[in-house]
Amino acid sequence: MGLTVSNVQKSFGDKKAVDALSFEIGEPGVFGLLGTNGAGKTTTIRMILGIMECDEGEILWDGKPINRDNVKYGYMPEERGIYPKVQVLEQLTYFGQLRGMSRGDSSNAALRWLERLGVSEYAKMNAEKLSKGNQQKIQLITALIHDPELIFLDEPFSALDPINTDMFKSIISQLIADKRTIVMSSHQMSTVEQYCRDLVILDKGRSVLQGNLSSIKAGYGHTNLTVGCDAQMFDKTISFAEKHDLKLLDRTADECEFKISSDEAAQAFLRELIDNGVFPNKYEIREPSLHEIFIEKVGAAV
Amino acid sequence: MKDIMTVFAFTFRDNIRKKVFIITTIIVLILIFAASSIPAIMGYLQDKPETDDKQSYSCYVVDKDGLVPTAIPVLKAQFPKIKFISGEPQKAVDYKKSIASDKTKAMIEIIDNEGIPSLRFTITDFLSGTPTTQMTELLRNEIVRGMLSKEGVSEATTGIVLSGIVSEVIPTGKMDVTGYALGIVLTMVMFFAIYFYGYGVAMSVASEKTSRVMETLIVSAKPSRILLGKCIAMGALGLLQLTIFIVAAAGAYKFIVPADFTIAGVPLALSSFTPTSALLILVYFLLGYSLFAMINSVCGATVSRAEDLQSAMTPSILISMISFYSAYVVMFMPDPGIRRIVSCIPFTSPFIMPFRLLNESLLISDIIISICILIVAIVIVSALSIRLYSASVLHYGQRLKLGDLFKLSR
Repeated sequence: MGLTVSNVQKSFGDKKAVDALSFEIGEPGVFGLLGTNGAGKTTTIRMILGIMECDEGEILWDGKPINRDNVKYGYMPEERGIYPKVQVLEQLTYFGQLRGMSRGDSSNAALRWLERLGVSEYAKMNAEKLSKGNQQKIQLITALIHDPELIFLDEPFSALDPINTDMFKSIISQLIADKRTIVMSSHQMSTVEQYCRDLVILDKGRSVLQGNLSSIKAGYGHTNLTVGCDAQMFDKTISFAEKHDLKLLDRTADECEFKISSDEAAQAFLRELIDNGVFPNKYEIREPSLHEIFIEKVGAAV
Repeated sequence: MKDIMTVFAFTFRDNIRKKVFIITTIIVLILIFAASSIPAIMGYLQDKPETDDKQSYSCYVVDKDGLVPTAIPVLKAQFPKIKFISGEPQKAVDYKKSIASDKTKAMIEIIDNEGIPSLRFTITDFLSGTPTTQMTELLRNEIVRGMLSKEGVSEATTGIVLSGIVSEVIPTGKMDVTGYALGIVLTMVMFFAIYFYGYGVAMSVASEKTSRVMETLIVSAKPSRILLGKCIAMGALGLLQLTIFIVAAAGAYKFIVPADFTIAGVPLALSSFTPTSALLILVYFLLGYSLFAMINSVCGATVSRAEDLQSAMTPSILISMISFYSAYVVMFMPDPGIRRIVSCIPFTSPFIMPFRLLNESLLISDIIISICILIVAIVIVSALSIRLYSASVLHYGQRLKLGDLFKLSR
């Protein structure tokens, strides 16, 4: 059970949009498909969905070439698209029918989803009258109405307020619990980090990093140190860090982020801070974040 | 098939509720009833007794040389409501001045023009309403009558000369004036219907691209099924609207148009409109629409913004315009060979065949060949259109040119 993308290539004229891309999603869960704009994420998704043919390579679902007859898939594209002049319930029913449901089942499923996402009062309203966030909920229902096994979510959290973001997150958690396979593409690295077990980072159509996220991060080791302290102690903290060859990466209102060469260097720095009367209220040695890995990989390639 | 029917039902429901459909239907229905009422209104106005306005209309008759002594009595007999006054030649200039400022006055001068009598009318302007043509005919007859009488020709012979020769034309072919007029009207209706509903398909595709719903749609169903469902729905919508118009026109013909109504003296007769010809015209409408709708769908798929649709449709519009005018010109040509050839060209046959069906006795084999060629063309154009549509429908950005389109579809 799973998706296999093997040595897939796609060109538009002279430009290679996807170049020898291979990855495998063996078990249900969330898979991260990351990359900068124009890296080839959407083209990859379109090839998997069968709306674009690949020039070379193959895409399999359970060992067989993927098509809409052997897997039920749902897709929430990055560019939100709904019929503006059509009532919400009517268009959801339509999309459910196109995905093989009967009119009655589709309408019932749409009503259930509208209820769950707290937008049932808009069922008989034209979609254009809904706010951006609510339109996004309709788009999510369109992707999930037929209970798909393989789900593609392209920037699912953009344009959502914190409350609705939490609502979407709870739905994703439920889908994971229901053993669905989700391919998520997003620029919000913290969200991807929160859900993705495996990922691939694309740059100019090529994979620059892929594998299990925990393993990737572990491979980097402890590279970062976060120190929190009073603002008036910042200058003193930074000067001690320089003595221990810690490179300042970032500075916020109450925290400093340093690049460390080893745990020992970070501990020697902490000892010196305390000996000199600087008592940090936060001290964390950690692996790099996905955001930092992404910047390192894609930034280096750029 | 289920997907096609789903797309069909959704597109049909969506478009039948659109303002453009409702408004065009209402406007055309009003026009049908208004046009049908014209004969009845004209008849009412003609039957209405004239007011006394004409009683105050006066006309000077100046016959300096006495060429037509009977002019005034004859004119009075024919136009009893006009006051004819024998005018004095030396006052002709004064008469002209008064006529210039008074529309109720006119003058007829009977002049000797080198031995040939001639007439000169003086009126205020062309809106004066002086029946100059009838007056000329009347006075010409009087002049001829006088000349023949002088030559000793009998009154009976003079009567025959002046009455003219009665002629009669007996057509042996199928064409009659009603069928001819109906054929032309039908050709035009066919062109506008095919263009209008085909444009609807292009607009529907373009708006799905503009609203970005296409990406969701194309994942839900195969592009070929979306396209076919959409084209069938728009065709059905067109058929429904045309049926409404035809039923309204038939009702108006039966209940509003006077039974004795004639066009140029010829009564309206729909004898050429047999059930078979009506069925074949319907077949040509559906096939013609299908052919052009498929082409239009590709035009709709090449644009990213609805504003670009008109220019994207230029090739399709050109093909339909050239086809329509070619058919229109050829249908009046006497050579049946050219008409047969044009009837076999898939782009022109939907425009020329309705006219021919109403006005010619066609061979069944000709009709079958024409329909078969049209169907084969539709299959080829559809296959190509589906390919181009699938390739271009997710392309956003600059409008695709024909060359790019074929490259993408490879």
